[in-house]
Amino acid sequence: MTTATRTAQTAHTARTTREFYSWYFFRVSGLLLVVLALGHFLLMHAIHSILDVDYSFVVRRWAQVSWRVYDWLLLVLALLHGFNGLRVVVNEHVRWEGVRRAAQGLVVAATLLFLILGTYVLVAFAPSQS
Amino acid sequence: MSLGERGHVAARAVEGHRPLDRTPLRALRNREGHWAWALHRLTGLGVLAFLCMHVVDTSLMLAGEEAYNHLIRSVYQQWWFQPAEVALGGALVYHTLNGLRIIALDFWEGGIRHDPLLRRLVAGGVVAVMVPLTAVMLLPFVSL
Repeated sequence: MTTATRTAQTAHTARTTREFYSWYFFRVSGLLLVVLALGHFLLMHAIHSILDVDYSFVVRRWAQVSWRVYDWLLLVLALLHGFNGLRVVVNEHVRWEGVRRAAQGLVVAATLLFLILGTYVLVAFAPSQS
Repeated sequence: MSLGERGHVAARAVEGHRPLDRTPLRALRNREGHWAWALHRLTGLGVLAFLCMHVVDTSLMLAGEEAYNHLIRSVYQQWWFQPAEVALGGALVYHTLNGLRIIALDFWEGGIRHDPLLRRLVAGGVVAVMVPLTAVMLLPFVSL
């Protein structure tokens, strides 16, 4: 077996393994998001109304650590589930190798950006004195 | 049961990248079942777009009461934004129910055989949830 073939084989195996974990993650995170995402939507739009939501509403909510934890779990799982979906879409529909690589880089960068921004907001927020 | 028999979802996930001329976008014209697949992608991408927007608007909490309330009042609480909120709810509910159907196809032995029933359950579930949910969401906007 030549080096090139072996490298290709290793790359193929690595990709197959990664796609298996991706496939598994979709299902596990999906099941958790059934509760977290639908729960969040129903809480904001059925139990409360969007007309109830304002700064002081969020302040009261985030005064409890448990809601910050809930929001953070939802943030992380939804971002990873969603951007992993976008990664699959890019993989399947962007034909040119170079463009695909660049697009995948953008997907990773955007994932990190939103993870960091969202986490920072949830951790750093403290109500302003007024 | 081979991955191929288990349906398009698991097989494609394991195979990873494939050439464009074999992507299900073309198969979409041939098989009715691929509409469920296309709608799953479309709703997933739509919810992801909203999620990104939502992370940014929530970050306005750090900018203070005035900035956050201004955005909520001038966009989210406007009557013209409510169709988008209802569409978001519909996308979430469809993506959830169809996602559960995909999990059933992957992990339940009889999933493939009962897929027609599963698909009817997804469609029926979306209607059953969205009719009352839409009413509840829009009710505060029609009070005089």
